[in-house]
Amino acid sequence: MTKLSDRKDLHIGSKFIIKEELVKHGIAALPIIIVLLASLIIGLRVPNFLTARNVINILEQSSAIGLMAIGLSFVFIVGGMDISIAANMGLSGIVGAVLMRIGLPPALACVVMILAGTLIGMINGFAVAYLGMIPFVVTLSMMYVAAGASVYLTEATSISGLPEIFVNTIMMRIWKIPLPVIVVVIFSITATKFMRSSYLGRWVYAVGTNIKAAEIAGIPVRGVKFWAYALAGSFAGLTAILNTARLASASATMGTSVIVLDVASSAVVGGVSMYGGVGTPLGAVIGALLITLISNSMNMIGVSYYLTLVVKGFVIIAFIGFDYWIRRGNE
Amino acid sequence: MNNSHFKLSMQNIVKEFPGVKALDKVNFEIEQGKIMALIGANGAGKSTLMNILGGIHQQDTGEILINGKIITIKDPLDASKKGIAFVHQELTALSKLRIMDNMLINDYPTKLGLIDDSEAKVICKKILKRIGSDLAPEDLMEDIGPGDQQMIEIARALVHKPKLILFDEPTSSLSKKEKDNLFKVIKKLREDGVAVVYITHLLDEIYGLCDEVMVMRNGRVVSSGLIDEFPKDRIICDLSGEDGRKKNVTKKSFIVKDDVVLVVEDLNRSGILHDINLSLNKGEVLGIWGLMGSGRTELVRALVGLDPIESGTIYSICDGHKKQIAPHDLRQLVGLVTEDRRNEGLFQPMTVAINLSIANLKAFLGKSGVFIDRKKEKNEVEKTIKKLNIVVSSQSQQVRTLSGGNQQKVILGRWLQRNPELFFLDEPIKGIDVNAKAEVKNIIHELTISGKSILIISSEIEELLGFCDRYLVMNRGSITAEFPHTATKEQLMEASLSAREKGIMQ
Repeated sequence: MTKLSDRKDLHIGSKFIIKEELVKHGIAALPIIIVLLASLIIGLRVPNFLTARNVINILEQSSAIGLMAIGLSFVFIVGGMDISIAANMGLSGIVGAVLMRIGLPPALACVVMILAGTLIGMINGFAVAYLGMIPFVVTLSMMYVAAGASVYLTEATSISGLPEIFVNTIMMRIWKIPLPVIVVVIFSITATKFMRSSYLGRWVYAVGTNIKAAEIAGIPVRGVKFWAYALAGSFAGLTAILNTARLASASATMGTSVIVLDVASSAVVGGVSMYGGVGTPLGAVIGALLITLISNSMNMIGVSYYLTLVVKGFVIIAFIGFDYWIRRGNE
Repeated sequence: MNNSHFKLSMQNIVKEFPGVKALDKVNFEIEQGKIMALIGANGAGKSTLMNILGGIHQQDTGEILINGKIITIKDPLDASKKGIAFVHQELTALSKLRIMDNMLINDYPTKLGLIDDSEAKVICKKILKRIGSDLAPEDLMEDIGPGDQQMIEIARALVHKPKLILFDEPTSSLSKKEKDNLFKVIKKLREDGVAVVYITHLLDEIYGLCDEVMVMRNGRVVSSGLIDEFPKDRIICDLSGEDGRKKNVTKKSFIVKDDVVLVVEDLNRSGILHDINLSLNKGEVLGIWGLMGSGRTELVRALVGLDPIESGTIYSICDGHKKQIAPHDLRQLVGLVTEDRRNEGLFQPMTVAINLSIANLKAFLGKSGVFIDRKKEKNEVEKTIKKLNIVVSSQSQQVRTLSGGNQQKVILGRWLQRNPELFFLDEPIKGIDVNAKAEVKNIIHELTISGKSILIISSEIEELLGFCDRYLVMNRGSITAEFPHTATKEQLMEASLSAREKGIMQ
């Protein structure tokens, strides 16, 4: 790389290249650095913070948000938006819980939950990709549909009394590490690998980067968009399994709008650009860790929940500003 | 009103863009009460020159003087303060707003800090009357036709009482009647003591309208003077010029045999393309020549389904089987290079490797059938980089940081990997340096040797000559002439400029 600046043909680009390197490694590393630094600082001031139990607790708390953030990162990278992802998760969980209550085997109920989430994602994807509707409007409406259906199905109560085997299996620990945490780790790595080196993944980046160029390069742009939304739905369904098991119940409050904000901000904080084309699922999961860390540590210090929202909000704005600044440099 | 006689001159204006010298010591002068025609092919520098006057670009060196005093023009607002107004080629209307809002958007009359609508109406009425328009200021912009919208553009320019108005190809979207009306308005402005610069490449328009003419080519002024001294053949001669590009790549042999691979019959898109019929032979380079706005880009876009068509049939002929094919499916068979490299060709922030392999990813699938075999991909990318001599620091260099010529080679390389039988190339050598031009043309030449068929559009007529087996000339959405490989510059230029006289347009 040292020779780069000597090359005349690259001269115009050298300024960009430096910034690019900084950005490429910086943006990936920044959330990790912040997570570590914040943990250290909080750990020094709050005695119980850096205990194994609390660390595992934070990891477990962040797993649901992280899993949905993986799903949302597909949609963000393709240049879209999915506000319905949390409500989708809630409804899928309720559908699964209701079916388990009337005797469907848990394994089958899990499959149904994933399918339900995928189906809702497909509806979103169809409306956006093939009908050309605006993502914000489509998924906002879908959020109402799913939230309304959730309350209607549960009659605003919580569906509990789920089979023990379901709860115990999903919440099982392997070497003290909760299964949900392992699931998130596995999926964040495979999803990132999938995005980087499957052709669908490459296409998602290409469409999010430049939809016109993608179309001219012969990429089936609509199909790519459709599957990005469908995949986001699948991850909502997957999250539904974890959440219903963790709570040992399902209710309409699982997928409230605050959760959407947490998921979206995880992705953004983790370096997934809302403008499309940039970021990785792994980054989104690290973002989820940071968002959970803020809530958890503030809670342990005894800061009000509402003040925590204020802090979270500012952190998100700061990261979106950072994202925009980098994007502008890339134009 | 004008107590001093208005006169603007530009001296030794130089303007460079990365890789291109857009203006090379250009001198220019205009005074009030005159209409000057500014003529030149695409890329001749006329728009750049006017953009400097309009404050959109700044000159690198050289001076602008108004009535003998040196001035600087910082931005469009500054230009308008100095009495220069710009009527753009594309309509820049705010379509959901009223006519009066469009005219006064940055200069509303106010009363107590609020917009004075009734005063605004009076102002607009007055200006509209001046240009002979009876449109109501309250009408919505989207409810009026393109001709009237063009009038509003002019009316908007007149709000600031300009002393010089620049018209950049104002007739490209107008009907005959609207055009006549426009010319009447321009002549009236001349009587009012306004100086007018009229940019066009339609020669027929300037006679009877303009007083002076200036011809530009390749960033230089070729000739200028009174219109009476410039008969049409002289302008054509000046426009095309004998440039003598040494590096020009020419074909060694030309195709004459009839081995058709693509046939287009009666393709229509209302207002854009009219009754397009063409065929493309195996191994042939078919050059499409026409001026900007002639429909050449639109033709390619329609063929591959990027724009809709209203009627027409496309056949692809493979191994002697003639088969009708939908534009959308044709796109899968064509290596498509569009004119807008930055926005439609490249994934700018992505790496050279990704940009090269994106159209051909399925070929790199590994054993899993899901993931790409990076090694396979890397090898193939390396081969293409070597083959096309693309100058990069590494495969993971961002494509945005490459020079124009290397970027173009990346796009071509993308299609070479996919290896289609047909290539549609829209301005493949535009805005790249001389060496890269020669290299790109050599790549195209090699493609034809291996039996690929090329449809090429270029506004650089010298580059097409001696390189195509056949030429089609387009004008206003129709194919108006066909020439064999022996065509000369003058023939092509003449055909693209005067087709209108033969009554082919409209």
